[in-house]
Amino acid sequence: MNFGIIISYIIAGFLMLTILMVNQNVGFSNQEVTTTLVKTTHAQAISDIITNDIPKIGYQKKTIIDKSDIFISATNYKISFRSDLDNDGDIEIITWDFDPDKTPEHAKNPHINTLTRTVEDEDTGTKDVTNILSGVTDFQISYYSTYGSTTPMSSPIDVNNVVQIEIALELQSDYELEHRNSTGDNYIKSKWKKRFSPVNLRPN
Amino acid sequence: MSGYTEVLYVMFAMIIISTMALNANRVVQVNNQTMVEGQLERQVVAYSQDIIEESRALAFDENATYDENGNSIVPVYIPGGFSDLGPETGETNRTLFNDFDDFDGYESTVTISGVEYDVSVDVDYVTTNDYATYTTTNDKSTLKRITVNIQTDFLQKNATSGRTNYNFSFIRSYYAD
Repeated sequence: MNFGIIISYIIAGFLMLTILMVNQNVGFSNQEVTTTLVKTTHAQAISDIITNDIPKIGYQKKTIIDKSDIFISATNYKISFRSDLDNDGDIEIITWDFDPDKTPEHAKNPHINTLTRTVEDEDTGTKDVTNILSGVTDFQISYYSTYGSTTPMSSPIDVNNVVQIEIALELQSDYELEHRNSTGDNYIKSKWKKRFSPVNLRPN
Repeated sequence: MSGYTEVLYVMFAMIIISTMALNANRVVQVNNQTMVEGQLERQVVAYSQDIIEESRALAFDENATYDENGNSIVPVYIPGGFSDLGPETGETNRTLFNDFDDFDGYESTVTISGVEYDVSVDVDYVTTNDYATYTTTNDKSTLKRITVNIQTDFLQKNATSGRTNYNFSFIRSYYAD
């Protein structure tokens, strides 16, 4: 048999392998980038709503909600407060509630839990409940009694002394990326953390 | 030569395909880098907003802080009665800051989700004639501008360039407080 043809076949085999591996890598990368983009978009959407709600804590058109009446509940996983969110003069009760032990039925990722935002009209009792099913795996709320403090207030929270509220949000993809060789979870994560200094919680 | 003509052809093909493979890998790397940068930049924006919001929650000036009844003290001369920029004696850390310009010269390193960010803050007195362009002034003014600078090792234009400096500014007016 022609020796040149044998060598050609061997090299061609390597080439085929190279092409297959490149194809695989590009495919995996696309999957990773697309999943990250999706999760980042979800995180952005949730953080936009949080950024809309939290700074308005205690706000009411043309008047002031007494500081002792602002909070209804303040724990590490739940915050409930009064605010005239839509600036119509009526007070709403806004609640962000994260249940770390309740995985939605549809979720394939067992770390995903349930985050709920509820806006209740205080006068009529009408509730607008939004279950956020975008893969929230962590939602922690910390409260601070001093501006710039690194030590959060301990439970139970003394709501009259809260001046800053920090929200830490983590989202994960619903499916694992199988090609990742690292140990541990192969879910795509997107994290976001922000500390708010609401105007109506200022001590002065 | 005829026995090895195929080898030459295949080697030529190998060079072409290797180049393509290298390019594809480079694209994958750039994609990953962009992906990570996007996430970190969101956190940079969030942290700089934290500092700006916190500074806004404090009094405009050391000489316009609040008395025990929560009323703002009004300096006799405005803006001449305002204090020099920077923290006053005893205001050694962020929890002791009580006015907007105490953040001037503030520096720290914060770790968020495992990534270290170097933060530095500048506060200046500024003036304006048209409320569009602002000029730093050495004199006192009723306008102060805070600039938050954030850098991290993970955000740089390329491997050889320095770290990218992200800066965010906010202008505060004594009268529009």
